Formats: sequence, C-alpha cells, structure tokens
Amino acid sequence: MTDFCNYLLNGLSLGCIYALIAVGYSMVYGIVKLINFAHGEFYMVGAFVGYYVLCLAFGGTPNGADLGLLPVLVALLCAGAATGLLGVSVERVVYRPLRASGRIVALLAALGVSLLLQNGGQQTVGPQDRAYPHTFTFQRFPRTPVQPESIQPGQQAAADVAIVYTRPVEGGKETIVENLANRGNPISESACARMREVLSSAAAQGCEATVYSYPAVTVSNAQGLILLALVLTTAALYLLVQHTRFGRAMRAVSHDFEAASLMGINVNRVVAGTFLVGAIVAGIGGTLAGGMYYNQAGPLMGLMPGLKAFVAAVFGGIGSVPGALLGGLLLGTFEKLVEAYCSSLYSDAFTFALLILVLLVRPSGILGQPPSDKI
Amino acid sequence: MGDWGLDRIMAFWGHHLIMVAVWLTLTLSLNLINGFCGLFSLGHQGFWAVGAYTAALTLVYVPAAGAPVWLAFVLSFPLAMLAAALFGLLVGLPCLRLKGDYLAIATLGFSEILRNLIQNSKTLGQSLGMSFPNIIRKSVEERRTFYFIYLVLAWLVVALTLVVLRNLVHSSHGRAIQAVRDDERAAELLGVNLTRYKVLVFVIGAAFAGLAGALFANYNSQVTPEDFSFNAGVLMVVMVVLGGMGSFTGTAVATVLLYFAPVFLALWLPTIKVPVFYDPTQGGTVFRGLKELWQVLFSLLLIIVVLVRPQGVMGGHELRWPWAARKKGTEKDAEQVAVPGEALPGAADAAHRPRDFALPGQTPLLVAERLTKRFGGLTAVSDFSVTLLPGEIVGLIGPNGAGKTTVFNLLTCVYAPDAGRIALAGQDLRRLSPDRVTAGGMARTFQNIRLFSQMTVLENVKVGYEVHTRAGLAKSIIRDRSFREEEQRIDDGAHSLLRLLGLEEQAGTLSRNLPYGQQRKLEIARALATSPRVLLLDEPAAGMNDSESAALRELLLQIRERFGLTMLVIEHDMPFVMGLAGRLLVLDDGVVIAQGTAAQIRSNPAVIEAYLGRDED
Repeated sequence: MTDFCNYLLNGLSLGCIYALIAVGYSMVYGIVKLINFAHGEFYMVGAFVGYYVLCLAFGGTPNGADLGLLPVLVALLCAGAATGLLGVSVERVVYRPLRASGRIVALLAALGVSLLLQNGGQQTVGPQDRAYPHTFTFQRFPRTPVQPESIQPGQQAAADVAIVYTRPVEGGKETIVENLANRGNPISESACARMREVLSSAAAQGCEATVYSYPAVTVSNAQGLILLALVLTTAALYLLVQHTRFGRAMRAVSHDFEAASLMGINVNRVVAGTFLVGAIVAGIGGTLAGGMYYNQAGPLMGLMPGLKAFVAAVFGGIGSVPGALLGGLLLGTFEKLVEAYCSSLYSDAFTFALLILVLLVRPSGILGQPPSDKI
Repeated sequence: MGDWGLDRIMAFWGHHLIMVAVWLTLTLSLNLINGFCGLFSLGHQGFWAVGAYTAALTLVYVPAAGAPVWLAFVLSFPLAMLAAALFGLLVGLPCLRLKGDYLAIATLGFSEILRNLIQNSKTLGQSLGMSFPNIIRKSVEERRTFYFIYLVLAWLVVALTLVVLRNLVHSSHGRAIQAVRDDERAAELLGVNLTRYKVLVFVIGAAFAGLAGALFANYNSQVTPEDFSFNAGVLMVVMVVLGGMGSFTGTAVATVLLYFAPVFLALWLPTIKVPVFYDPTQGGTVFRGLKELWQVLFSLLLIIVVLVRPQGVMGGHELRWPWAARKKGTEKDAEQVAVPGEALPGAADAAHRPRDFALPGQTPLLVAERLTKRFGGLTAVSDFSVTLLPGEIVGLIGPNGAGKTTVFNLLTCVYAPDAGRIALAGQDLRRLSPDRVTAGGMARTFQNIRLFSQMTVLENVKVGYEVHTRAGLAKSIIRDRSFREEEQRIDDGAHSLLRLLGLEEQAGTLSRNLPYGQQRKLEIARALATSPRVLLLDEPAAGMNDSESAALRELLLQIRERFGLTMLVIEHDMPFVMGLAGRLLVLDDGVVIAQGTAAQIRSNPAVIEAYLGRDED
C-alpha cells in the first residue's frame, strides 16, 4: 500500500508536468483546430531558458550551492516570458498565414516548426543532455526529528532515517540529505559512524545538522512545488477564461470562429493570446521539469513529453482546459503505475495504446463534446 | 578530391544509389496512402521496420534451421511484404473512422508502439538490433560485383513499385481511391466502399514499404531500431509533400533531391563551419559544419514550402510524355458553355444502358413509410412517407430547415432512421451502407456541390462507374485484355454522358475550375454514371438564372425519357420545380403538410402559412 502511494505521488508529479504542457495543446486546438506539434518544443525552450538564467545570472552549477527559491522564481518568469514570445512569433509567422489552408497543411507546418526547434536546439546548445543547475536539495516531508542517540547499530529501523545537514561550498551553502537506514532493515555500524562524523563536522563548521525519521509515504518539496505551480496555473487559467473579457472572447472563438469575428472580436488577437498563454504555461512546465523532476535538460526533451501531453489532452478532451489538466494528471499517474507494476520498458507503448483506444472509442475524450457533422 | 580509386567511387555511388532506391520505394508507397488517398500517415516507418525485421529474422533463422542460405535470401522478400501488409491491415482497420490530424497521430502512435516493442525485444536484439552475414557479399569475390548486383536488385524493386502503383492509380480502383481523398461522403454515395479502399491502400502501401525493408535489411546486413526512427518517418513525409502529394514524378524528384542534399553538402563543403550560437556555459561561440546544419535547413525548407507552395514541386501533376494529353491546370479560363435544349443522339447508347429492374406495371419503385429521424431532442423528420411510381418526377419543397436534405440522407441510408422503412424496387434498404444503396439503383446529387475537386471532369464521371466495375485488383495491375476493354467501355460511357450534358469539351479540366452551373451538371452526369433507377436531386437549379434553369428542366425531362428514370427533386425555385414535377410534397418542420399537384399546392393555406406566415388578426 505504501509503495502504491509513493508511485501515485510520483505519477501525480509527472502528471502535473504533462498537464502543464497539455493545457497549451488543448487551448490552441480549441481555438484554431490545430495540433501544434511544436508545443513540446516550447516546453524544451522553457527548460533551457531556465537553465541559462540559473547558470548565468545566479551562477548555478549542478553540484554547487543551494540557490533557493528566488532564483527559481526568476527563472520561471524568464522561461515563461521567452516561451510566450516564441509562441506568439511562431503563430504570427507560420500558422496565421495557413489558417485557411486546411488541416494537413497546418499540421505539416507545425511539424516543420517542431523539427526546426529540435534540430536548432541540437546545433546550438548541443545534442547532449545537460545536468540542471542545483536549485535546492530535495527533501521529503513530513518528517520528525529524532535524537541521534536513539540510532544504534544492529537495531531494526522502524522508519526511514536520514541526516540532513548543510555545508559551506563555493557560492554559499549546500544542503545534503544522506540516507542512514531504511524501514525494516537493520541499522549498520557504518551508518552510525557516518552520522557521528557528519554531526561533529557540522558542529565544527557552525552548520546545522538534524537526523529525521520519515513515514512510509512522503512528498518531496520539489513535488510540492510542481503541484503548487499546477494549482496556481489552474486558478489563473480559470480566472482568465471565465472571468475576464479576453477569456470570454477565447470561449466565443473556440465555439465559432466566424461568428466571433462577426461579433467584433479581434480573432487574430485572441489566437495570439491563446498561443501566448499556452506557451507560457509550457515554458514554466519546462523549467519545473528540468529543475525539479528530471534534473536535466536536452534539446530532444520535448519530443516524448510533448507527444504524451498530446495524448493527455485528447484523453481529457481536446479543446477543454479542465480536460487537459485531468488528462495530464491521469496519464502521468497511469504511466508511473504501469512502470511500477507491469514493466518500465513498455510504458511508452501503453501510453500510445491508450491514445489509439481513446481515438477509437471516445475521440472527444473524458470532458470533451462530440462534434457534429452536417451533410 | 584526393586518392579516389575506382573501387571507392563505385562504393560511394553504389551505396547511395542503392539507398536512394530504398527511399524511393518508401516514398512512392507512402504517396499512395498520403497523396492519392489523402490518409495522412505519419507511421510509414513502422511498415518499413516490420519488413526489415521480418527479413532479418528470415535471414537469421532459416539458415539456422538447416535450409540453404539462398533460400533465406529469396524468402525474405515475400515474407517481409506479407508481414508488413498484415501490419498495414492492423493499422488501417482501426484508423478507418479517423480523419486528418487524428489519423496522423494514430498512425504515429502505432509506429511508436512498434518501435517500443522492437527496442525491448530480446529476439530482435533490442537497441543493438540484428546483424547477419551478407549472403551476396559472401558469394562474390569483388566488391564491385556486390554493388552491381544490389544496384540491379534495388532498381528492379523501384521499377516494380512504380509500375504496380501507377497501374493501380490509373484504374477504377485508383479513381475510387482519389474520390475517397476528395470527398468521402460523395464517394460513398457513388458506390465506393470506403472501408475496402482505405484498408486496401494501407495494405498495399505497407507491403511495398515492407519490400523496401527487405531490400534494406539484405543490403545493410544489419537492422537497428534507430534506422526506423520518427525522424526517418518525417523525412519520408516531407519528401512526399515537397514533391507534391499525388504525383509520382514529384515524389521521385523530391526523394532524390532530399536524399542527396546532405550527401553532397558533406562531400563538397565539409570544412565550412559557421558560428551559430554564443554559449558561455560551453566556452563561447559554437561552430557547426554545413552537414550538421542540414537538418535545420531541412526543417526551414519544410516550413517555407508549406507556406509558399503547399502543393509541392509538381503540384500534384505528373510529368507526361510530350505527346500525351496534359491535365489542364488553374491557368485555363473556363468559359461558360451554353446548353440549349439539345437534340439527343438517336440510337440508345450501347455503352450506357440502365440496368434492368423488371418491375411490372405500376408497382411503386421507391416506397418510404413513416420515416422518422431524431437528433437528440430535435425531431428533424417525422412520419415521412412517399411512394414513387416508375417514371414519376416528384418535387419536395418547403422552407429552409424543414428537413428536406435529411429526408435524402434517410433515403440513401446516410442516416439510420429511428422509425419507418424504405424499400427500393421491393428491396428493404434498412441497415445497408450508402454505397450498397447506390449499387441498388438510387443515386443523388448534393445541396452544396460535392465534386472531387482534384480530379478532372472526366474522372469525376468515371468514378460513377464504380458500381459496374468488375475488374479486380490483380487485373487492374496486370492490365490484361478484359481490364483494357472495360476501361474503354467506361471511357466511352463517360464521354457520352458528358456529351449529353454539354460538358465534353471540359473533359480534361479540373472539376473545381468549372463555373458553378456546369459543376451542377457534372454532379448530375456523375450520378447518372451509376445507372440509377431513382435519382435524388438536391436543389439542382440553385444559383441558376431563368434561362439556365429552363434549360436544366428540359435536360432533366430528356434524361428521364432516355434513361427511364424516376426522380425526387428538392427545390426552392418554384417555377422550375412546378414545371418539372407531376406532384409535390411540402415539408415543414419535418412533417409533410401538403401533397398534390402544383395548382393544389399553390392555393393550399397551410403551405402559404409555412412559407409566408399568417396574418396576425
């Protein structure tokens, strides 16, 4: 049971990432009926903008000092802004001229943009994945401090035990979490020795060190941040779509493009705005994924998550923002559970099989509406 | 160029000419699916992989079982084609109901599932793939002989592919396939079995991709999952699009160009490096060579082509021998051709005889009883009944939104009725698909003209002959005498129909370039090609002025005489329909509110109210 909960939490984190990408897919599809293949690449660009901001503006390195929350927020802001700009530009230059040209032509153009960004990324930042700069150490919660004396060798550990300490490094402090014992296993002599070593050196350097025990099911601060980002994004999108004039215009355009333009809505601006919002959210998702989930970024990182987020958007109901969020969460969870219980190798195959199943059985997805076709 | 011995030159050109042949087979077969049938597949690399891995398995396990090595070689080709064709069936069947971008994603999904399975399968060598000894290489002494043999083999494969596909496209099957691309619904109502053709296209396209796979596997002596990546699939698609979908010449040209571009870039400009990026985390300016930048240039090229010339290099046209007739393109100005009441050719046209339904006397030809259709909470048609006697022309009139087109859709089984029954010449039409209804003798035209826009006028009419066509697939490809005779009959029949409707001069024009009035007449010609007994006409005079509609009325009366037709005509043009139909039905809000002659209808208060409203007293 506890294993299941941990897999579930991991899946929800991944699901949050997928949801953030899927939202952009759904919004754009709802408005212009285009699958923006390049959306996964917006996510990748966001990850790299975040990477460069953290490295160049804050001196982040993969093994360096903790940067803290402020640099992360700045990175998220910059990633969102840059990706938003990219999204609007792509729409203006490539998609808008093709609006009347038919779905296949637009799909090809989207494919072209996607390839351009992928290959452009490979040739500029290089084809290898890069380790993301260290922002803060992942720590699990909830946790209770324990007295170091209660950790004795030979005892059966009743819970996971780890020591959390800081130490000075170039540029500041670094927080380290070292595992001492796992629930259900005996505590080793070397673990106790290490604990004492860390405690004394921390005391000598004037740094903090505490021993904690953790329950079976924990959530990490990174997971928490990702979830918080999703919640805030959901709230912001809800407010935007339901309670602003622009949101009303978006809804009108997604129902009937022509009628909306005849009602005096500047559809070009609505479309540009939709791309902007979708891309910003994807960019934020990219930095979060690179920094908090995968801890690396590469020019091809958008390919699979992009495809999977598309599956999520279709699953939840393409064109529906709540559908995309739901679909993303469900798909991430599904993927991790399949990995854990069936086979980690075939999880991609399962995801695509799900896509095909959805397309055949209920193409409008969970929350979408079936389209009508006039003869 | 340095020290290039003859051997190295031969190896270089041999390798590339063989590989370009593999790619040509792939793109030509993909063009059948994407270009000619309009089913946008992004998963063609999956079929290639199935063929290649099947060939690899044959080459590894057949000799291991004790059979001679040359047998493995020979068997690998048909087995690869068969396996790929089966996979094509597996992919095509579920994708039948999918359209456009959803179909693209689904085919991509299948291909990715396949690649995932391959990459994880120990039998298939996982990421390292499978290697096996090269049979030909081991049997010949000199390298040049090896290349020569494969060159011949590779180009034989290309020739085979081209001949088979071309013969397929230039047959009634090919026309049906293109009709499916241009307008599925209209094709179905002309007797084209959508399921059959969509699946056929996937199976054949996949089979030839499998053949390319066998060729590749045998030549390369190695197959790895990376060879069949999504990038390879995209490259194939781009080659087809760039060349112009639906054009073999275009596909061939684009394939050769896009294959050799990076090769020559690497050969002629290997040392040029351009600065592309400034990255402090990588130590400053980043330089890349042109060969590496090819992928970027390629993506830019795709975007530019899509923006500027989405129809590709050839625009869907083929390169023809100078003395063959050319398709007339968009440059031609289509003139208005007046059709006064033309005298009909005297003798009955042998090429086009209506099929004999042998109904005695005044037995009703078409009987619809109490048809009802609901869409959710809206009842579109309620208790609609009509009886058509042979030779009758009945008019169906009513205000907009009354449900007239819905009645047509019910009669042709596009919609299944919620209640009621339909019988044509005594045969119950319930649960038949629309193409079977057309085969049964009922054809229709459409309110919004639904021509096959990318096909010529003549080809549009020829599609109507689909219900008559007997030539099977094999005969169409081999082109034996019975096939050629039938094609000639279809050609003659189509020409005579066009002549009848005054369209023969435009036979080679693309149908979308016809003026509106002639497009309407083309729809009628096309419907007539199916040899119907009952013709359903949906607003045939829409958009015509008085003289045009008078001429059309004359024409319809003549056609009725000539072909022994029975007609049901939806119209808004009152003089037109009242001068044409013997009896009228008035539909309002899905219900028949009046029936009778024109005089009776004109003075019927319920009809007047429906059209004009009632005085508020």
